[in-house]
This record gives sequence, C-alpha cells and structure tokens, in this order.
Amino acid sequence: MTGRTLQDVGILVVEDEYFIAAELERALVAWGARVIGPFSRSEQARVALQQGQSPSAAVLDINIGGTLIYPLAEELRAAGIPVVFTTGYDVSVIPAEFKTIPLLVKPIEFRQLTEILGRTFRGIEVTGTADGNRTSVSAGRGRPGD
Amino acid sequence: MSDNAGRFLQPSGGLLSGDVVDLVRPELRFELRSALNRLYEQNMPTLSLPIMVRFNGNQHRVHVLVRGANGVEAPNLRHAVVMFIEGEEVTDQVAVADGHATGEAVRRLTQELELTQSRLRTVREESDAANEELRAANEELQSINEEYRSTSEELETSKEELQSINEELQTVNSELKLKLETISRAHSDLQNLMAATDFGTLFLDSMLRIKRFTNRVTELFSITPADEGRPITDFAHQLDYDRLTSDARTLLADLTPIQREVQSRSGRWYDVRMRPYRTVDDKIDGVVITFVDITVQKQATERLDVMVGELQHRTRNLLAVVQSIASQTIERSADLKEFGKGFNERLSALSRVQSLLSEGDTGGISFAALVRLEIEALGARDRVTIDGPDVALPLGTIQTLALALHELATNARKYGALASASGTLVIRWEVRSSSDGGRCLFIRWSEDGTLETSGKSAKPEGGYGRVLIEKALPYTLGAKTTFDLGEGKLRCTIELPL
Repeated sequence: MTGRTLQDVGILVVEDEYFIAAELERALVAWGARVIGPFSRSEQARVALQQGQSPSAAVLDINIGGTLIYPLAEELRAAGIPVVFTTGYDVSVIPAEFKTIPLLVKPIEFRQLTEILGRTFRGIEVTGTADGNRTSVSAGRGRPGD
Repeated sequence: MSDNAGRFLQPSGGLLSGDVVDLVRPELRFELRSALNRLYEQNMPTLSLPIMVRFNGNQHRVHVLVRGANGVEAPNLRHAVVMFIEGEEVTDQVAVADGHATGEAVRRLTQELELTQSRLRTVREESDAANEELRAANEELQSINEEYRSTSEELETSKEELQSINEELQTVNSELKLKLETISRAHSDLQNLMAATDFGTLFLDSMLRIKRFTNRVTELFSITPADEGRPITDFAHQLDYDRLTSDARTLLADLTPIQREVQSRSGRWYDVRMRPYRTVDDKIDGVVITFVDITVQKQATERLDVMVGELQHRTRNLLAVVQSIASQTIERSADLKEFGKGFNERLSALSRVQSLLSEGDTGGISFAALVRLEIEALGARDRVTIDGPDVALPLGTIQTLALALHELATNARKYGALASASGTLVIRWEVRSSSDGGRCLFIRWSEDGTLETSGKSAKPEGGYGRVLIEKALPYTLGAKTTFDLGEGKLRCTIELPL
C-alpha cells in the first residue's frame, strides 16, 4: 500500500469515540483522502449529505452512542456508496442483510482498513478534471467486499 | 310234528306265527294255551277233557295231552310235547241218541255252551291283543326308563363338570380381581403422573384422534376431556406450527422422533417433541407429543447472548480506548519512563471506572461516586470540597467523563491546587435545564492557589487533559465545555446532556 492511495477520494467517517475518530481521520488524510466528518452522530452525517457532500465511501461505527448505524448504512448502500463497518461487536451480531459489508473489529488496524478500501476502489475510476481541482469518482457496480 | 298232526292244524289268518297256539285249530287253542301255561308255570302235564272238533263236517272228540319234552321235567327246558288224541266220530244221531234222555235242555245247554265258548274265544283274543299292547307298552316304558337313567347319569356328569368349572371360574375371578386392583393402582398412578407433569403431553391414535392429554395441553389447544376421540386436526392451536399434523403423519410413516422449537401466538417458546406410541407388545399405535415451555431458558439464552455480545463490545471498545490513550501518551511523552508513568496512571483510572461500571450495571452510576473515586485515588481529601446532588449518569458517558476527571485530578496534583501547600479544589455540580429543553449536568471545577500559571500550560499531560475536555467531551458526549487557566487559578466547566 503506497503513500497516497486514496488521493482526493471523499470518505465519510462516523465514529463516536473522539480519539479513534481523530486517528482515523489522520490515517485517511495521510493516504490523501478527503475526510467528510468525522461525525459522532449519524444525523450529523445525514445533514452533511443533504448539504451536497457526496462521499465515494463511508467508514461507519456500528454502535453510535447506543444507537445502531444500520439505517444510514442502508441509505448509503442504496445510493451506491461502498460502506466499511467498524465495531466492537462480534461478527455474529451483524444482521444478515449487512453480512456482505466488510467489517473491521476494534481496535482498528489501519493497514487492514487501507487494504479493504484499496479493494473497494479497485473498481473505481479516479480521473482528474481539466482544472485538476475537482475529482469525479464513479463507483463500480459491485458492493464492497464482493 | 308227526305226520298225522296236520289235521289238527289250522293257522289263523294274518302274519304266520311261530306260536303253536296260533297254528292249531281254533277249537283247540284255549285248551292248549292253558295246558302249556300249566306246564311252564307248574310243571304239570295236562290231559284235557274231550273237545268237539269238526273235521270235514264230522264232529270228533279230541283230547290234548301236553307234557314236558322227553319226560324230563326240568324247569329250565322250555320244550313241551303236544299230543292230540282223536276219539270216534260223534254223529248227530249219537247226540240225538244220547240226548234222548236229556232232550231239549241239553241241546239248549250245548248251544249256550258253544255261544259261551265263542264269546270266551273273542274275549281271549281281545285279552291277547290287550296283553300284546301291554307288553309293547311295558317295553316302551322300560326303554324310556333306561333313557331316563342314562339322562340322569349324564346330568350327574354335567353337574360335576359344572362344579369344577365353577371352581375354575372362582380361581380366575380372584386372579382377575388381583389384576384389576393392580390396574386400578397403575391407573391412579398414571392420573397422578398426568396431573403432576408440568408440561403438555398429548396422546394421539394412529388416525390422529385425541386419546389423552395433560392439563397443560389445554393452554395450546382449545380442547376439553369431552373431546377425546375427536381428530386433533379439528382443533385450532396457539402454536406457530402449521406442520404439526404433517409432522405427525411423517412420524407414523418413518417412526423417527421429531423435535422442534416452536413459538406460540402469545410469544412463548415450546420444545415440541414427537415420538411414536408403542404398546406393551411393541406395536405402533399413535403419537405422543410433548410440549415443554422453554420460554425462560430461551430468554436466559438470549440474555446471555446479548450479555456476551455486550461484553465483547465493551472489551473491544476498551482496547480501542487503551490504544488511543497509548498513542496520545506517546505523542506527549519525552521518553519511555515518562510514557510508562502516564500510561499506567491512565490505565488505573480506566480500570477503576471499569469496576464502577460492572457494579452499577443495573441502575445508573452517580456522578458523586465517580468524583469520589478519582479524588480518593488522589489521596488529598482535606483540601477538596465536593458538593452536588445525587445524579445518575447515563452509562455511555461514564468512561469518557471519568478519563476527563482523571486528567483534571492528575493535573491538580502535579501542577495545580494540590501541588501547592495551600491550594484548594472545589467541585460543585447541579442539574439544569439546557437550552434545547432537555436536562443537563452542569459541573464546575475550580482550583485556587495553583502552582503553575497559564504561561506553562503547554506541558504534555495538560495537553491530553485539555484535548479530552475541549475536544473529546463535546465530540463524543455533545457536552459544552470551558477551560480557563488564569494566574494561580483554574476554572473548568462541563455542561453534560443527560
């Protein structure tokens, strides 16, 4: 995994633990990603999406302050945005419809996250526009982890 | 029979009889019969008086002599010799001649005599016939008597047989009585067993008709004891188990016991087991279905699963927190020794709050307890004022809040009010209504007489504490915080939504 694998890719981060969120952000920025968030509540993420943010992928903690992230995950998936879960829960408690979503068990190993995101974006074409400031990303058909 | 005996014979009409009396001329029969009787009964030979016999129109006198055969007068021998001695012809003239003297009277007497003799003959014949009939009747009576006797014997035998049968019946009866008692005892045991079993048991015959059931079954099927004999398929049940009858039929076909966990419409769980009903002589005669309420076990298992999941979640989150504490401490440590000290202290704080968390799992944890835990670990209670109402904290807030309090307390001990000789620490809190209408816990941490001034606030630990209070608490718990380091004093406020 070389340096800036995720150059200018927008990644939504929802994680309620400040220090974990901070480290995630730092790691993603180090790989060149543009972090949307991090948010400690899923409503905050929804507001950002409504305000026109269009992430290419999302890293979501399953349990956010006692509520589960599944509704947001479903919305993102419906919009064709690949999702990666982070959680302290065991894989067995994940509902069947979300079993295909890649799962990172806390404490997160950031290298693992890079690998998963790398696999996810193998099907994504990253093209710089004429002025080089904006990047358009078209997501592949497949779901993450497929 | 001698050659000249023929003239004395004249068999009577009808069947040819061997009786000599029937063979001789009718005039001689009476004399012969009485003479034979005399011989057989008294062994006396007889010579009869002259009998007038008409041969070819001439009358002759005939004597009948009867005596025992060969002159041997033995009573055992039933042989007799009959001799006819014929006299001279008696003509009417002779009779007339003779009758000269007697005249008309003799003739009349003779006629009367003849009349009487013929009457006598008739009477004798009638008597003979009557005699015959009597003999036949007697024989019949004798045979009837014999029949009676044999019937009587048969009856006697039958009676004996009946007696022995009766005895056998009595024995069988007493055996049956014993068996009946055993069965009755077994039945009452069964009744008690059925009443005592605290789970549903349903017996069906091979046509799936109800044979017997325990009381618990009525909770699931709307059946009463009067419904015994009716097919179970006629009854609605409370179970979410549409395959009940098809399962029962499958069981009857392949005899493999079936076990399922089934939920009832009221939300309870049942362990349903089907087994073939085997009679004592090992014939399959239906199905036994048991329904065991496993709701409690099921709930316990679910609770356990949730607890295990929660425990895993907590453990992993804790590790994540440890990881972040480690990296934060590394960033702010000049060397490994400093890192070790800071890291260990923070881990201790984390450990203390963990034990508090596991103790207070059921209710909330009071903020006062959390504060005291940190201040007691500090070991300087005389210069510390703690004052506030009893407030239960939401579980999710405790870990981060405890870490923040730990950083504040550690800093107070190292550089703040408790590091100096006369500094004071006041921790006060109250519950307020927040701007968005909810309730919040307002905490005011005040240090006076601190050792260090705001000019030296860039030390590593202070840095971590400040990040916790100014960044982590607002981010993770949505708290509003202030942190002011002034000359010889520290003012920190935390407004935590409840």
